[in-house]
This record gives sequence, C-alpha cells and structure tokens, in this order.
Amino acid sequence: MKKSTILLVLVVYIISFFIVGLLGISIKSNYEMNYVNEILVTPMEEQIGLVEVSHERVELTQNVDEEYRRFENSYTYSIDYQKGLVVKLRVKVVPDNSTYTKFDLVTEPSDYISYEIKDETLVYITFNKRRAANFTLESTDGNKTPTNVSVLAL
Amino acid sequence: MEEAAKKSWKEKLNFAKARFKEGWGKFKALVLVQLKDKIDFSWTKTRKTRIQKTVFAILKFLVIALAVFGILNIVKLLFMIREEILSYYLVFLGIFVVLNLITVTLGLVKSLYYAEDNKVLVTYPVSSGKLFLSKILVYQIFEFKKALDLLVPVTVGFIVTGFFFGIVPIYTIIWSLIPLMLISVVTVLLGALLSIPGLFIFKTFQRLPILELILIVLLVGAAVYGLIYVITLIPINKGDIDIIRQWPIIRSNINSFILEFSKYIYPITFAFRAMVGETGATYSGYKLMPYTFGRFGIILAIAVVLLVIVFLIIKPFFFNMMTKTFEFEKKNITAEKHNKPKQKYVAFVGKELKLVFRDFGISASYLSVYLLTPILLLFIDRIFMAMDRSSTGDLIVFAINVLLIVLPLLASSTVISTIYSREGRAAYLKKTKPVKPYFPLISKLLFNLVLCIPSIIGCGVVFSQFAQVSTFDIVALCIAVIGFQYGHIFYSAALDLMNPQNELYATEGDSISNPNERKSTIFALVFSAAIAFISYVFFKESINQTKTYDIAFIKLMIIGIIFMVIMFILLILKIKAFYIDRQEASRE
Repeated sequence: MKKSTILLVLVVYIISFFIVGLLGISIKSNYEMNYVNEILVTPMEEQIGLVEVSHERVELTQNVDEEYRRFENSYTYSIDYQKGLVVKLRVKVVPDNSTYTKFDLVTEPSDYISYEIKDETLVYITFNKRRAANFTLESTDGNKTPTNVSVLAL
Repeated sequence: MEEAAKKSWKEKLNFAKARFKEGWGKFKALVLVQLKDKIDFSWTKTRKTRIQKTVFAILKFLVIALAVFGILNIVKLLFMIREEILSYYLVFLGIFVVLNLITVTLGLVKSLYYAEDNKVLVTYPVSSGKLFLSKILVYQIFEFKKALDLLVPVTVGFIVTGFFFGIVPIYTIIWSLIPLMLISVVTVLLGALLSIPGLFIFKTFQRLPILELILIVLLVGAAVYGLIYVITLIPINKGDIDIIRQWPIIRSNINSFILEFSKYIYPITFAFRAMVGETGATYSGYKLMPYTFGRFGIILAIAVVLLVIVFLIIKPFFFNMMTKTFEFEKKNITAEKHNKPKQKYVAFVGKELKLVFRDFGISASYLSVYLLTPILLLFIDRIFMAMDRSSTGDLIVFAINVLLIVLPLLASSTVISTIYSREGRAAYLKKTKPVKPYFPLISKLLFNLVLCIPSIIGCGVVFSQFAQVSTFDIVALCIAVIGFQYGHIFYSAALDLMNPQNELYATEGDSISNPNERKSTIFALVFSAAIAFISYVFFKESINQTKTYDIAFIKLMIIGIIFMVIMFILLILKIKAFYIDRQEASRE
C-alpha cells in the first residue's frame, strides 16, 4: 500500500472515532465537569520523623467564581536519612466531587530515589542515598493543577 | 606578450564554455531520455488535451486543499482549536517525511542499481558522474510530481486555514512551499545516501531470503502484539469513553503528544519552522522572522553538503554496482531438472503463487493488511463499546464497521492495478501462451481472491461480538464484503489491462507514480465511503420497519454480488477486447 493511502486510512480511523464520539453518544441532562481546584499533601499517620518545613499556596486564577478558583501548593518536608528510608505521603484532591480524582507524578529520573503511587491517594518515596526528592503532582483533568513537593532526606 | 596571454586566457574561457555547453547538452539529453521513457507526454500534443490535463490537475489540487480546509474548520468548530491547527500539520509532515524517506530509499536502491534502463544508459557516451546525477534528478522530478498529488495540496489546505484563523500572514501560503520543496530535495539526497546500506540489505535479503521472512514475521508480530496490548488497555465499561466530557483531558494529551513528537522529530520541526515562521511571546500565531530565513539557509546548506557527500561517496562505485547487477550477478543454474508436465491450468496457478511468495515485499504487504484489518476493527470496536451510545450511535457504528472493513481491504487491492504491468517487458509473453488469455490473467488475481476470505470472515466474527446480530446477518455481511473486494480487484485489474504501464516498470521499477493505482485508490476511497453511507440508510430503514437488521444485510449482500458480477463481466470483455479481438484484428 502506498504511504498516502496508509495515511488516508489512518485519518479515516481517527475521524470515525470522533464521529461516533460526537454524534453517536446518548445525551445526558447532567453533564457537569468538576475540575480539581487544588491538590493537598499530608504525611501519612504512621510516618514518623517527617517535619513540614514550609507550605505555600498561590492562586492560579484571577477574577473567577469561587468554584473555579485553582491553587498551586508547594510543600517542603525534612526527615533524617536512614538506609532504605520510605516516606509515605497522603494526597487529597479538592473538591471531593472532582470528576477526575487521579493525579500524575512528574519528576526527573534519579538513581537514588524511586516513586510509587498507591491506591490513587498515596505516594511512596524510597531513598537509597541522602538526597532531596523534588516532584510535582498534577491533576489529570486537563488543567494540570500542580502541587510541588520537596522531601529532604539528609 | 601581454596580448598573447590575454588571448590564451580568452581561448581557455571559450574552450571551458564550449565544454560546459557540450556537457550540459549531454546531461539534459540524458535526463530528457529518461523522463520521456517514464512520463507520458502525449497530452502536450494538442491544445484540447493540454487544457483538459491542466484543468483536471488544478481541480484535483483544489478538491484536496478544500477538503483539508473544510475538515479543519469543522475541527475548529467542534473542539475550539485555533493555534494548534498547525501543530497537527507538523505531525502530518513528520509522519509523511519519515514514511517518504523509507520509500525513497527503497525506490532509489531499485532506480539506481536495479533499473532496467541501466543496461541502455551505460552505453551512452557520458561520464558515470553525469549518469548518476541524471538518475538522482529524474527521481527528484518524480518526487516533485508525487508531492503535487498529496503533500502540496494538504500543506496549502493547512496554511490557508491558518491564514483564515489569523495564525499566519497571507504570504506564508506562497513562502511555505519553497522550504517544502527543499525538504523533498533533502529527503531524496538522504535516501540516496541511505541507498548504500539499503543495497547491502537488499543483497543480503536476496542471498538469504529466510532473513527477510524472519524480519517481516517479526515486524508483523510486533504490530499485532502492540495492537493487542493496546486493546487490553481500553476500558470495558459502557460510558468510560466520552469525548465531550473528557475533551479537556484528550486535548491536553494530544498537546503533550505533539510536544513530545516534535522533540523526537527535531529536524522536521526545524524545517516546519522554516516554512511557517516563529511563535513569540508578544504576538499570537506564526510570523516569518529573519531567523526563519536563517533556518531556510541552513536547510539549503545541508542540501548542498548532502549533494556533495552523495556525489563523493556514491559516484565512485555507482557505475560498478549498477553494471554488476545485470552483468555479473546472474545465477547460472547448472543442475538439471526433470521436466514434469502439469495440467496447463495448474501450471499457471502454481507459477503465480510462486511469484507472489518469492516477492516477500508484496506478499507481506497483502498478508499484513489481511491480518491487521480484523485486529484494528477489534481495537476500534472496543473503543465504541466503551462509549454510551444512542440508538443513532449504534447505526453510525454499524456503518463505520462496514467502512473500516471495506476500506483497508479495497485499499490493499489497489496494487492489483499494477499487477500485469509489474511484469515489465515479460508481460507480452502472456500473448504467446497456447491458451485463451482469460485463465493466465485471472490466475494472477487468485492469491488475493483466496486470501482475503479469512480476513473478511475474521472481520465478520469481530463485528458479531460487537453488534449482537444473527449469524445469517454476519454471513450476508461477509458475502457482501467479498463481493465489494472481488469487484474492486476485477476493476483494478481491468484498469491495468486498459492502460498498461509495462514500459515504466521495465525501466524504473516500482517506484513510479502509476495513474491506474491512483484511479484505483480514489475509487476505493469513494466507493467505501458510499457503501458506508448506503449501509447507514439501510440499517436505519431496516430497524425502523422490521426491528431487525436482516433486510439491510440482505440488500448489502445483493449490492455486493451485483457489483462483483458486473466488474467480472467488464474484465472479461476487456480481456477479450485487448487480448483476443485486437490480436485478431492485427492479424487481418
């Protein structure tokens, strides 16, 4: 098959997906989308020794209704390093009735720190050396509402 | 003394001028000879045909550009997209250039080292350097011609849309075509450079065909595995996929994808910027800045450097390699084989099957389409199943299923419109065979006629999983699709019979732009779309009148059978006209 034909067939596949998605979906009266306003982070109850050094909250929106206001949170935590240290953080998406409650963790790859998201509400950070773990949690609703977290294991 | 030196200097200059003129004349003649062999210039003879050809070409260009313009405007209305429109063009350009580089490399391997006209060209009184450059230039002219078929009208469609959206100024429409042509030149020169490893791979595959087979199996296997893996990721609950509700996420993901994609194809992103200009913090859209022309200059410099490299690297062994392929690399079969007489019809079928399986490129292309069509259908149906569809949505999905079964199959059989011409000059041997020409000609189609059936049945099974219709309906659908596929195969074969391109394939290999293939592809697209639309109307009528889809499937089956029979009769009539009546007339 010629490349132009392959491209055309691919375009038809993509268009067909959108045709059904737009024209073939049953119409619902309650079609409201609730966006994430902010993402809050707290240490897990069982986490010992983790100290909150700072917490900042900056509004990302201007002149919008209360329900549409979005905030960028920045947390800094500190903890004493020990071999195989695992820091457990609880993540809460605000408001509770957000349509998409999942979040993405964005960070630079590191040989000494590994990250794991559990049950869509917990973040586990494992340290193999004295390092600072810097990462951002982003909402998955398209707005990408961010929360920046720094955990210093020194 | 001084005058004598001046005179000698002038003489030298005149001599150089004369030599250049002579060299240029030879080079021009060499290019024209090759072009005349490959392009039908008969339309230039009369005013009427000149006007007809020009008007048709302009119309074709406008139709494609306007179609792109229309689709992009619909996309804008539906998804509130404005500035991103040109990012979508970048994705199109990226995919197109990458695919083009692969086909150009393969095409140049055949055109430079394996073309049949090499045997004649080497006898011309020109240097190997001129011969090499003429081949590259002829290939480039073909690439420009091919670009006018799709790449240029699509580009114009995108840029004009960008102008109407206020993203680009009007002069970008003209300017963007200049770097675009340069991209085509760079692609051909890169392809020429890659033709050396390409030739090595080609020769290795020729020596060890099992390697080629393993590679094809691995590639098709990876594609199937990848698709099945993606299918398992699709959510299975109804309502999980909802474009309107999830549009912010989809849009965000598309934008992230484009951003990542543009990083991976940086050279193409660079060339794209040379076409449309730069974005800036103080203005919206794209503007042509001095930096843009700098980019153009860099690409131009790259093209020149590539030309020098290609000339220096390939030229020294080009002549040797091109002559080697037809002078020294002949297999002398010394082993005696016992002649086993076979029934003449069995012999034809056996010969055709051997030919198809010997060319892994063709057989793999067919097999991958036949294998991937049901899997892709399963993929898209799983997505549709995760959508909370209305009753109209169900009908649309049924019609789209018909489209997505018919379109890839018909698109794959467009190669049939080249099947007789591919034999090159050997095709005339068919006329010498001691049988009526119907059987040898139709036995060439046998591979496709047989192998499409399991694929169509596979599509039917996938459709039945999704559509919950009776077995009778599925059987009727399969018969209908077989009818459409067979009809299109017969139609494409008839195109090749009526307007054979044997000389083109004999001289240039399969890298040419074949008018029959174009006609067959356009027919496949228009026919598939028409069938999908007709199916939608039938499904709607049938469900409203009888509460089942039976009538719709029966109607489709009847249309399929009628189409197949008509095309078969037309093919038989054309074989009779071109292979029997014409020969008898010439004898008389």
